[in-house]
Amino acid sequence: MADRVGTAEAVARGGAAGFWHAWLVRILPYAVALLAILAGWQLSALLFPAYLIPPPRKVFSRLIEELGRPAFLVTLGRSFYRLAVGFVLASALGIAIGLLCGIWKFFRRAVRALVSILQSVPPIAWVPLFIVLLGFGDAPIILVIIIAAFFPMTVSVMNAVEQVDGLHLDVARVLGADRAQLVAKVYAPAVVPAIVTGAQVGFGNAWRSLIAAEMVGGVNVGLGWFINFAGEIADMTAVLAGILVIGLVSALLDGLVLERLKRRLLRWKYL
Amino acid sequence: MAVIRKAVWIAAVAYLVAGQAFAAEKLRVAYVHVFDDAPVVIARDKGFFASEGLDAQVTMFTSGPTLVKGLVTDQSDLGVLGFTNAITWAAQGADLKIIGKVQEGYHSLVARNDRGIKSLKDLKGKTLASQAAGSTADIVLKGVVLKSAGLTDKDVNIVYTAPSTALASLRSGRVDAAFLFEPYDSIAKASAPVTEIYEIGKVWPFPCMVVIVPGRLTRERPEAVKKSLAALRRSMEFMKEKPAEAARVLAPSFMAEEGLAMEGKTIAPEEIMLKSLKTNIFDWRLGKNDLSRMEELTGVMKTLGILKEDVPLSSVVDLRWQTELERQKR
Repeated sequence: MADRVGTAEAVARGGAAGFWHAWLVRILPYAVALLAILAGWQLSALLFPAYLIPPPRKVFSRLIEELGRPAFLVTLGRSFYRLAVGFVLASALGIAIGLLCGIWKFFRRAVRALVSILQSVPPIAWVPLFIVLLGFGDAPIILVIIIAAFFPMTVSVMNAVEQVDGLHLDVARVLGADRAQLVAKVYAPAVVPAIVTGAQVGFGNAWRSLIAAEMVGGVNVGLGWFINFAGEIADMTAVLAGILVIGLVSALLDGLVLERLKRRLLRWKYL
Repeated sequence: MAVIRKAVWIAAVAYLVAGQAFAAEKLRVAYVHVFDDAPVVIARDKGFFASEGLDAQVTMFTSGPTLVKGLVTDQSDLGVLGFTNAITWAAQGADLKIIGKVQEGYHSLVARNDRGIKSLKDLKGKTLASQAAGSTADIVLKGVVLKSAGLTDKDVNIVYTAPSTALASLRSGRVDAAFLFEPYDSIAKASAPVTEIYEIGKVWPFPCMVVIVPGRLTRERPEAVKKSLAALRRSMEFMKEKPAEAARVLAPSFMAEEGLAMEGKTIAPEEIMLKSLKTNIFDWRLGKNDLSRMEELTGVMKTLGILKEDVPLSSVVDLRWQTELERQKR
């Protein structure tokens, strides 16, 4: 709401001043959050020996050093690849199943029962089983990400489908819409906000599960593996550099990709 | 009346003083849940810590690198874990001391019979399951085992996983080979179509599990250090003298109660434990050969990039209590 007011005010003012005000409104919360984290971190670094909690300055310079190493870039690239494949598949599957629930009541009940049983299982708990079933490598990690992102998306879309106005459905049917057309013309547009919400929650879950799965999933490349390995050899500077990357990448993807996507899809809400 | 009151006071003070003197000293002991740390389990379950005057609170960890964090943050007083943990943390500035040995590194490299792996060289291009990257086992695997066959970690697809998962993957054929310690090694040989192609303990014996304490403990509570080492020595002597009884004591901590079921027959947990005891060497003393192996492995750690600079072994190893106990024994 505040965001909308800020944007509206900026539009009303117009010109360069308005642009900078809007920019500040968006950036300021991130800056405050970052400063709070840095302050807490620096304080901890003063209380503990440097081999346990290295100061931010040391970690930032290590991060810059790592970003210049091809091996670290390969590590990052592999994590992004797993995240992208898993998240896209989970989202597509979640949207498709959520929409199917709208037109098929029995299917909806069955899916709801399945979701209530399975969504409480932490995705990481599946890792040992998936390794035995699928072998080592990307497949078990991607499957863990799919599970992590699938449930928020499915539940979100399913709930939105249940709330579609009956009048809209009746009108469409009277006009001769069949089941496929109902899905495409009535349900799909109505569930767009739910898809955005599901994607944002699912992305957070997927990101967390990716790191955890890479830590225990028997892979030897990836951000989770990098942090785990650094912890094994007492390199806390690298551990914190890895954590920093997770936080920064997550904030960037959420702020630049998902938030922009939300604004584009729900343009009518932000006018 | 005054005499009686005085006598009561003297008795009360004497009771309190005696109580203080005989109260067991508290010690937070940590061990890794691997068979290599069996002496800690024996010392706990057979009451050897208590008979040395220690009230040991024994905590189990799933990995050495997790355990060592407890030692450097003052949450544990003593740990039995891979010696490379002490070296890596000492290199970062932590004050840790190795005061004795527990076990020589017995790790088997077992390969599935249907993968054509007859020697280490045949591992090229194969998938090998091992313990956590950066652990003592991993350092030995890369820097000693593979190197002896002219291989590097680039030639073999090493997958890092828990030993139980490595075992399951070996059985299901998801990996071609695995680098395992006891009891997983004995279980693998008993339950999967595998053959041992290498045993580090036979080819390149080295001190794997050692007793590590924070430097603070050696300065502030030297008697507790001595008592703990004495308790572990009793454990290892007991394991050597009465292996069958030791196997019975250890079974509940390392095996499922029902034993290992395979091809219609069941192998009792005690039997697996006994086999594991026979394939391991437990010793409480760090000898000259051990120290030179530790020097070699420190060099390997530097070659692998785990250590950025040299860590003199003399700054980490403190054998005062070992020497004292050896002298007492004579």
